[in-house]
Amino acid sequence: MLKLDYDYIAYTELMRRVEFIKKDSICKSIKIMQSPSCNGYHLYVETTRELDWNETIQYRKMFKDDGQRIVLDLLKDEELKDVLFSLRYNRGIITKEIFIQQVA
Amino acid sequence: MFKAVNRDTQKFRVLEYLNEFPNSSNKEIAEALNIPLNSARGRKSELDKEGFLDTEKEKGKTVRAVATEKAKTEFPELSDDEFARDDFIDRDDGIWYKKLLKTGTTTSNKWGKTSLKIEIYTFEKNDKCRFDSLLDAVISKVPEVQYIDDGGYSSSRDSSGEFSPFQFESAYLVVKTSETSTFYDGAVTLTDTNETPC
Repeated sequence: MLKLDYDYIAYTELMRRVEFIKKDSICKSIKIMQSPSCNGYHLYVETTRELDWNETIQYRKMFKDDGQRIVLDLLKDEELKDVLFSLRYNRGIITKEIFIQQVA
Repeated sequence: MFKAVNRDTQKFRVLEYLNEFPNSSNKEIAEALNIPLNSARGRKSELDKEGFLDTEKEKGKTVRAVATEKAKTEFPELSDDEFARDDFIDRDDGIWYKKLLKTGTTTSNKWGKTSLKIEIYTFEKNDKCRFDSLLDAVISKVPEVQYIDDGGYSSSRDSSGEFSPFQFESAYLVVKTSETSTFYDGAVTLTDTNETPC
């Protein structure tokens, strides 16, 4: 599965990116969620085959995943790469991802 | 007033069928479920009005009918394994999930805001939410922590869980007070808090 983080983009731009991802043969389905901090979107792309780490990074770049997130993931140790928070905890307040739609 | 959707009812069977074969016509539903055509039409209409179906009509005729997220939330068996949200049930779906809680900053009543770095993860063969369990384990090892200022929980598929020694109820916790100084680095035991879905 590919996890993509799009912060501070408009819904129209999101859908443009979704259309682009949909056309790629690697895409089986896409689950679109509003991020817990409500400043963007999280995309969970179900892939048609398993991807190794290098391929994951390539696809993340191609699908315009948050650049800073890619850089940090390349620097991180093995255990904590490619994390998207489905639930965020901020000063005792818990916010969760909100489901928007699933694109087959 | 519509009858509620209960499992093993005609309405639920229609919903189940439409989830498996989206966009089926009333005739196809009626034939597949061996029910009268009018019953198929009626159940479909009721499901639509109750928000269990997402339909699109052209010239008064339904051309698209698929089970909605509401239906899948209420009846997790309609969802596929990946997106099932029935976290109250410990379903062994054969898929390993890595569940982690991590943060960069915390607050302690002794030192105020600190730069403690906390990372904890466990593997489990279901998608049940383990946020509270992980947080409790952190607080049990670092009781000074009043609450985590900013952190997050994530659960994602990870097949390496099968071979990891940190399978639920065991978890791996790292607490660093600075880049070079480690306060805790090792295994902790989690408790099942039977929490609500994440």
